[in-house]
Amino acid sequence: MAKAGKETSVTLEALVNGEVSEEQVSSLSFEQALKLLEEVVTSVESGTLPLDRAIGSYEHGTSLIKHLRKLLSGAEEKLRVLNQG
Amino acid sequence: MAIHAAKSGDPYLTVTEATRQINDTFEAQFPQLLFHGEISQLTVAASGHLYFSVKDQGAQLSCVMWAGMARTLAFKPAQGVAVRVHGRPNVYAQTGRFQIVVSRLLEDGEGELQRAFLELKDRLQREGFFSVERKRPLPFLPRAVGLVTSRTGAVLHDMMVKLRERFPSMVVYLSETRVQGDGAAQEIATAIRKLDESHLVDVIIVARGGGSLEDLWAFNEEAVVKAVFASSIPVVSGVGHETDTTLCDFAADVRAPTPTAAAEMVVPKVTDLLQRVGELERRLRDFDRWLQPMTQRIDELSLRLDTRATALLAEGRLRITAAEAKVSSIRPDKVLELLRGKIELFHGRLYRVGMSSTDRATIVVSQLRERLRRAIPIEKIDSYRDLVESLEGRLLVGMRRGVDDAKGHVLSLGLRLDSINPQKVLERGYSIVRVDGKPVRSIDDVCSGDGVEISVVDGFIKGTVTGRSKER
Repeated sequence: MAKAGKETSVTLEALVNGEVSEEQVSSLSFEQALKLLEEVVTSVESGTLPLDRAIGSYEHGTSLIKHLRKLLSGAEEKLRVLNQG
Repeated sequence: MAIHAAKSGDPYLTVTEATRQINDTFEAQFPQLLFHGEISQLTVAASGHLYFSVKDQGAQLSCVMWAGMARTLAFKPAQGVAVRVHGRPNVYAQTGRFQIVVSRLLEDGEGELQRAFLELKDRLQREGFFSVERKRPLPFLPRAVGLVTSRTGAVLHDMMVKLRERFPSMVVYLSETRVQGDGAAQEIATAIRKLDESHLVDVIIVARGGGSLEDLWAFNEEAVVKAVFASSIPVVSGVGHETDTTLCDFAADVRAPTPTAAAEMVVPKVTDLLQRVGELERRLRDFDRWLQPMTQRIDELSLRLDTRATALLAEGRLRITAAEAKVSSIRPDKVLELLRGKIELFHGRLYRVGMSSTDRATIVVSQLRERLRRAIPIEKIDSYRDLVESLEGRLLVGMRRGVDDAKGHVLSLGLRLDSINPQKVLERGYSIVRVDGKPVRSIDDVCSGDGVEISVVDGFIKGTVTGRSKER
């Protein structure tokens, strides 16, 4: 859970090539997932991708959106007190 | 009070002597007088001596600080400044004025601490604890936030309210500590370390509400500064009010003016993030927009394809037309005629040459026949023949159908004629009555006694009318 080390780095290239699993996507931090989504949207909008890759990108974009929304949702958290001693 | 009589026996002292005795007594009684109050009526003499009063609500004491002493002051005395005074009481002989000769003047409380603060700040700065290069950015969205503060008091509550307002599902860990008093600094340092070692949070807020410099002092202590510095997780310092500055602020990655402001800094607004994701989703789902370059390309290609196809078609048509022209220019009948003429000519020549040359002529003829065969595209002729035959066939079929149709028509007309043939009517048992050769249609056409002739299918019957009646 530590910030350092655990940060999975997923590139747009890997994502579009289908080398990224659902688990990897769901372990992305909000910031990473948002950045990837922005890249996906920009690349499909550019119209330079072949159609099949564009469709693939669309699907990956959708799963990123799902993940991002999940990170933002959730019930109100209670304050947790760290054990003393 | 002891009264020292003069040697002369006169009980009255000189003024000088009285003043001296008073001062001696003060000296014995108050070798050093310590008191605190507020400076008022401050005068800085040309000589550099300071003349002022130190007062509280009930009293005031005139004070003097000699220039030599005044130059060593660590602060600038001013009207209203709270001070702690070391001095001795004295009556100034020349004027009889009672005053305190000040040997040490300190700014009250804060002054001492302020000096300690500045000294420690300088040292820690030199040791690199506050270096700007070390400052780390805060995470965009922490998975959890760590709070180092007191469990009691409004600060924790205010921060929780702010955190929930911005991001309701944010996980918050409290690492409890006292925030003032003896040993508080050590507790704060420990609380920071615990959060750091827990690896549960992505950012730590060290917080305390406003208070005096003494109240906030724990956050100026080296232990806290070092713990903040050592933290592997970014630390936000939100200690005191906006105007308060602590060494913890300097050591932290980010200094927030208040605890609430710190809470605001570490967590983005969930509504902003949802809006951003929503915007990206809208753009992603906008197929028209991202398919547009592709459809444009398809349009372009199909246009090019169209153009090419049209060109090919035109070329093809041109070639067909040319071929047609060529074909139609060959008139097999003309060629045949020509050749026939040539053959006849040749025939004639053969005759003239004589029968002896028959063998040679036969060869020539067969050669000519071969050339003829080559010259006339037999297939072409055949195809013409086929066409003619098929047209002939169609013509025949057409004509036959016409004849058949006419026959049918005649037949049906005959049938219709039959149906109105009177002979047929007579065959069905009807008869025709005539008077004077005219057919009788009405009772008015005859009178009683008229002779009638009744035609039936196989002959005539003669009769006479004997009566008429309208009734049938």
